[in-house]
Amino acid sequence: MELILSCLLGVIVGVLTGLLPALPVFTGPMLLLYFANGQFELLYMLIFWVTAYMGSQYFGSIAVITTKIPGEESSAIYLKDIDRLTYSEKLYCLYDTARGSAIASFVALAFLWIAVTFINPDLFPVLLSFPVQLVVFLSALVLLLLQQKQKLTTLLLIVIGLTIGPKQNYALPEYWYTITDWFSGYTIYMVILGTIIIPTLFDSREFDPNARVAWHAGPDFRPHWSTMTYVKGTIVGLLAGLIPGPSASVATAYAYRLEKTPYHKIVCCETANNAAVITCLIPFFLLALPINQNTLIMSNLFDMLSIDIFTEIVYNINVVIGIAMVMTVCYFFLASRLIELYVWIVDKLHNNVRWIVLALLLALIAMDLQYSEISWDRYALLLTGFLGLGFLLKHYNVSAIPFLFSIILADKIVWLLIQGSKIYL
Amino acid sequence: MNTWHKVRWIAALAGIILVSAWIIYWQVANPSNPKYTVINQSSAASPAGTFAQSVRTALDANWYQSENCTDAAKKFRETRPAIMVWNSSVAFAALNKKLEDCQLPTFTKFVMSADTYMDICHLPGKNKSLPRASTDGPVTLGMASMYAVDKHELQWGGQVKLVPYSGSKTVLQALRAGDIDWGWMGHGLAKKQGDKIVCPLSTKTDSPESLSNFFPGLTIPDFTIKVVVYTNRDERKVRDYLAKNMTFRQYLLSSGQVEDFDFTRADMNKVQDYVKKMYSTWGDSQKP
Repeated sequence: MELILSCLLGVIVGVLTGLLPALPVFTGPMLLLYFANGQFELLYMLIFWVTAYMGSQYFGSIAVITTKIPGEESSAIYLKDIDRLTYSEKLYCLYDTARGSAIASFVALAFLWIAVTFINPDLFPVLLSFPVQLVVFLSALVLLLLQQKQKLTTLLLIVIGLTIGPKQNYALPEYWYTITDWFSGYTIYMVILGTIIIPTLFDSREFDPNARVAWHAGPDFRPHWSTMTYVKGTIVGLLAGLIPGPSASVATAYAYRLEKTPYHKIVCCETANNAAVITCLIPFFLLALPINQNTLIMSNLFDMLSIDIFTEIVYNINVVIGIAMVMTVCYFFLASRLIELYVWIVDKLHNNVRWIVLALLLALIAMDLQYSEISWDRYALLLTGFLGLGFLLKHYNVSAIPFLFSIILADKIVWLLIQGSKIYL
Repeated sequence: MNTWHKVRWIAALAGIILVSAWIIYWQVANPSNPKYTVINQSSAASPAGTFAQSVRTALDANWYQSENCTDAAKKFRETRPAIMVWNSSVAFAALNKKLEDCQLPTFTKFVMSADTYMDICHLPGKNKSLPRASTDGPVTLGMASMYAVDKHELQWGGQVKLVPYSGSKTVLQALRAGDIDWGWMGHGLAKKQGDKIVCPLSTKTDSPESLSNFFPGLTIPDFTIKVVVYTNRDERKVRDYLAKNMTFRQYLLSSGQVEDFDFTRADMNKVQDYVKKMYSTWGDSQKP
């Protein structure tokens, strides 16, 4: 019963997150943060997470192709191509995208299962050795840094994140403790809300409340099976998903170049995107390296619940992958049928998107305040601080992802550095 | 006002009412038999963290992983009903780091206590001998960061590097990955590994593997992690439940915990003295 309920809730959250691009793709794990008190078994949380995550990708395609509002930066690359599609082409494109996404998800899930089952740290403890972990974490940080335009500012953000992030580390000097104490009580939701969600919501470049569904008629269109498009998109997605940072964006950027017509470019991008969001789980499950917002939030959730991901994922992977494959079929049918109904819903939602998102944000802040361990005035002070940082970063076009990455992974990175210095120096 | 506008207003109002009702339910309504919240003062990777998880499972309670012991104490004061799983090693580290509110409270409702000793292990066939460290070159011994301190390191004779980790689980991980030569970890965790590791030394005093037999220079060769469980609600009810819970009893047995369900004020004084001894032996300052 709990299993079915987890799937259903995941589907609802996934569909809503997808259809309403103003809601971030990491809404699923963010909702889970409110239940980080051990009420739910890990298996149900994993199923909810994966289902919501996959749903947001399937239905995100519908929203972006119908409204031209990208719910995530990975869709931005083909926005101009959407205008070139006729009404008939758009409907077929939505169907083809759902089919490509289903194929890519299936292949990526099988890839994930093989990786976790046959290369896990229980079989190969060396995966968690100091040299491997150091190389992996530092490479991730360097890659994140290299992808940013303002490298010095990004480096500063990483240092700040690493400074305030450590918890329960008694090997740190006393002054470091004092610094972490200034920021004690912040929640990861507060950081995401302040540095990413609210600044994005008020950024007219990314969020256009006046956007409307624009359809134009054209000759009837009957595309053939885009087999090679699916193959290309899936392969690119499988590989790009392993790149830290905006792995889905990297996947769509490469996939975009592989096709010539606007129609196939969009299908290829969405196929690659769906494969990438699944393979990006591999570094997280095998090396404890979360490489995007979704896995970063889950990493934080596991830390809060004292869950050892390496041990637990091996026990749960068969059920999780099995259910995810079933959900892939369900999502394909959901996403490829009733397309005109979704178009109508998206249109209605987007006409009122600011209202909806504002109401959701207020509700989420109220719940976060309810669960946080600090007084409302301290909460307001910390949130204001993160908001200030978020708007500042938005103004200067600096990504907040490296900050989020370093603040969540500070514990692991700082421990690695302390242990390395003791062993090798 | 058109129909859609009205629907929008109604939806927004319904949303606000639902959220408010939920908050009131959680905060004010307070069900008649509320769930306890188990507060883990220690690192999740430590034996005390595993102990706290087993208390949570036995009581089907909520979970709170604290940022540090000060945060844990604050959570305990503000949450009812709550159960604190206090740890002597964290109390020692708190003295070292000048953290407040981390010592065992004098007036509280004690539920029980448990002691766990440590095993000192290496990988099969890969032992740089600890007793003959000086001839084998430097040996790395991983242990929880609280006691991987300079004063402790000196007592091992100068050829042993104490490498700090967040707790026993991460020590085991590093040992299996080949980062360190030896690992100092909770007996329960070591026992679970079967033949994956070998543990020829122990802090158990009445054992032939006792550290005191090999390292006379160590001031605390009988090191144990002392866990004390206390609550701000009904300690008798919690104690009875834990004492009768078969899963919890099984955990205590398998992890080699020495439990005490009759924890008295005299026991409390002993635990406090033990923390002071650790501080006066390994602490950065001699003035607790």
